Amino acid sequence: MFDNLALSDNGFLFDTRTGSTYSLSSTGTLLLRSLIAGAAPDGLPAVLVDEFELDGRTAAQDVEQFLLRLRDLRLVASDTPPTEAV
Amino acid sequence: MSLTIAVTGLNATDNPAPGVPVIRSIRAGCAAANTDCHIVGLAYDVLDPGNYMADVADDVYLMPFPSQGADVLLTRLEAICTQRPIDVLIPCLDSELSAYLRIQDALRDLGVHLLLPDEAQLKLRSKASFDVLAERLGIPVPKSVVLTDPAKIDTLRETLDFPVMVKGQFYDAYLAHTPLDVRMCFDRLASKWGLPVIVQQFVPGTEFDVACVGDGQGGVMGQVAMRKMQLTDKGKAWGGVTVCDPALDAFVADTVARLKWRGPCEIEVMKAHDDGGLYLIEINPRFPAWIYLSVGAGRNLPWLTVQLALGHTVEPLPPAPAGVLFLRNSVDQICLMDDFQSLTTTGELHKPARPEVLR
Amino acid sequence: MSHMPYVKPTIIQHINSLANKHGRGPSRHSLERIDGVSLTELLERFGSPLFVFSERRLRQRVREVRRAFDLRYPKVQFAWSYKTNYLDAICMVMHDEGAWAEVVSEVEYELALRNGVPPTQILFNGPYKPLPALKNALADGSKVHLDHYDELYAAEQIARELGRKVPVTLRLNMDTGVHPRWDRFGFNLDNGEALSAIRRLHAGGHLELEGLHCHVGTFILDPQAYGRAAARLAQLAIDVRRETGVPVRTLDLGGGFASRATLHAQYAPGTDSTPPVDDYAEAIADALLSAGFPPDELPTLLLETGRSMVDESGSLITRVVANKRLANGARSVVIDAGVNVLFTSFWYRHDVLPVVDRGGMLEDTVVYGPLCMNIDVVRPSVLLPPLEIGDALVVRPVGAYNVTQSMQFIRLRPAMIMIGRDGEVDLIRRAEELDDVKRAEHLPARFRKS
Repeated sequence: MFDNLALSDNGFLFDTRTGSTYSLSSTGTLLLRSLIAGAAPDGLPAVLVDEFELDGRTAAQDVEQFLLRLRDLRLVASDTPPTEAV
Repeated sequence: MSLTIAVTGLNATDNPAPGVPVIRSIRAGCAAANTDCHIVGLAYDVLDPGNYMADVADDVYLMPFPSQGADVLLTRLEAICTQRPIDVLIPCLDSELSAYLRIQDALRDLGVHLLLPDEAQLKLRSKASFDVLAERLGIPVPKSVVLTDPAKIDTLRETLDFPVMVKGQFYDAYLAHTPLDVRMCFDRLASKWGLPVIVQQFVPGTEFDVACVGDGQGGVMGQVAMRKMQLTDKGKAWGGVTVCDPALDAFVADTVARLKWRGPCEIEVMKAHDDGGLYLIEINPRFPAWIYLSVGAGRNLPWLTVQLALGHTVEPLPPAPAGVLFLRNSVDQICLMDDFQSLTTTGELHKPARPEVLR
Repeated sequence: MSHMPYVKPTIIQHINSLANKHGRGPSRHSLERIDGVSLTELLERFGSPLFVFSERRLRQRVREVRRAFDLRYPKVQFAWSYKTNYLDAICMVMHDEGAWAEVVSEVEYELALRNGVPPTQILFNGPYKPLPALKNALADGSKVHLDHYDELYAAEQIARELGRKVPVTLRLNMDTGVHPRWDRFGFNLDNGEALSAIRRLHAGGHLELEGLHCHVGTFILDPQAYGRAAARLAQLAIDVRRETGVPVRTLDLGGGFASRATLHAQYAPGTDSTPPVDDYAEAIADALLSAGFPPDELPTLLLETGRSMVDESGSLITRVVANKRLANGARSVVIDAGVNVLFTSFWYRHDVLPVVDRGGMLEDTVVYGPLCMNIDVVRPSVLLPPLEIGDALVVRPVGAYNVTQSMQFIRLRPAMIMIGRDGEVDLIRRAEELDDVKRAEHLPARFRKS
């Protein structure tokens, strides 16, 4: 479902369907890269916890907000359920 | 010898900044002088077309807007200079000048040379100071009234005959036939450019635009006079021809001498239909966007500016010959997404080295 | 485990090629300390929000302004404009630096007396001076600036009662090329009202014209406006001297010099576009020295500089209480200080910067205050890094007018501290409590429960 998203390692994103371009922070790039690779949204907080010294609660909240942003920007389908903050 | 020259303003839209033509002129000057040059483009927008043009800038850097202040500008330039030391920098936009004036000493310490007017000259050429030009320096300008209070519009007839030109302090001008027209223009200009608004006697006549470079001692080092032949809907030149009129040349020389202008400028002169008298309409404190015409006319003013900035001794150029024509065109250029991405994510774009044959 | 520090996951769309605004690099700023004192520690000790004044910065600025004028004109006296900031600690610094007091109400007059200012060193300005206050001020030798004819008549009556001739100053207004024109204060010079008033004053025989006063406006960025005002006041003083034989002893050019704050409508930041104080001094001194006063009758130049003196010495430290996306996707944060204590946000684009920048992408952000009021906007747009709840921000410069115009609306007013010259930290106003607000109220007995 993400075959329209061309994401570079430096955080530059090009949506081939809409022509829109975006910048992502390194962490944002990591999360979107994981989604593109097929990770389930629920698994994303764990990706952050594994990668950084971060508590699970912050990771879950930050992922939730990031997914909401992706949804606002219509980069993920609006019916993708957000992960629940723990 | 190799020079690194930085030029600002790579916006080349239908109301273009002078950056791209200044760079093209400098490239021509370098080629003629057999000098190796490296051009650094300082852009304000990722989408400035000049960023992507072949044979324009070798490196492009995104700059903070002048509204962010001189300190931020200096920090950015210091960072650029550590990558690529700049020998000469030519600012091409009005809004940048006061920031560059503030940091020019610091830039000189970095080895960056500029050729700029001083703050007093810059203030004098502002439209609100035009009456000072007339009174103190004896330069003929159309009679004008500086308005800060719209209540004074009703008394304009005591000083000026209608029609009049109503001008914003930085940009825009409208012709007004009645005080009511002035009132409408006043509100529009004041809300866009702030106060004051300048009301100038309209002089029916022919407008000439003269690009020139002053040496700061009162001398003109080179000048090219042009009459517009084709205009955009914004009244900008889209085509023009060089003219040679000794009276116009003398007027420009006299104006530059009285102002002791240093660096590039564009002087707009109106030649009145009734008595042929010449009036100063405006001074823009940088090159015009049509400056590449100076190369065609054999008076490469941007290259001259580079040499003066470096402190080289240069002989003044004679006025340009008449009859050299320019017509601007627009071209859709194909750009690389990678270049766009590079400017967006890093604020920098480095073009591959230019093949030897092009130098 | 990555060696990269954690930054918030952020995505920003490039809209209409404005990407440069979101650019990285040079425009990141943070401010962890003021005069070497940690702002985080100050918040922990005094609570948030917190006004912080730097005594060092204040004294430096006062001396800088004074030097600019002293270098150019031999007789200069500053008077501290009380309404700009009447925290006692601030006023005492100003008086310690040699400033008189300029007050615009009987309340401020009382404040100045309490701060030990002799009545003769108080300039009493303003369109309304209640009769008892006017009487006291004239009897005690304060410099009273008359605003209109009715005040002139009242002053004459008081002089009659005192049985002696009383010196007064006339406040004037005129076109100095500044917009908007302040013609509501004083007598108009352009239409001849000022000259008539002066003639009337002399003819009355009870008052003596000691000085002329003109306050051009506020946040005036054109020093030449002061040059024009000074030239016209000086010319009038010379004309009056010729006509009456009595020299005018003081010329008061008021205040209104711009600080380095930035108006919302200004293009370049105030740090670049505000003229140095030397330009104001030069314009005024030039006009006075070239006016043609005999050397022994050179008037004393009075100045009532407020904002330009105190603005940059004050900062407000505040904490983020919420992050929020607006309906259009724009980012906003809510902080714990609102326009009830930051009145100047309506006019100025204050610097808003994090105390600690932990990295992450800068994003255009609306900064809202905590009030349940739509107008509570501290900055409509500013680039900020990702922020957590509790992160501290600095808002500056806020030393002028915010304290005096603050109000207990929805929230009480916060604590205020001063960092002394040696880094010592003093509470100069504690945070308000509910009793402070309610003390003046009286509840009729019939509403009291039990």
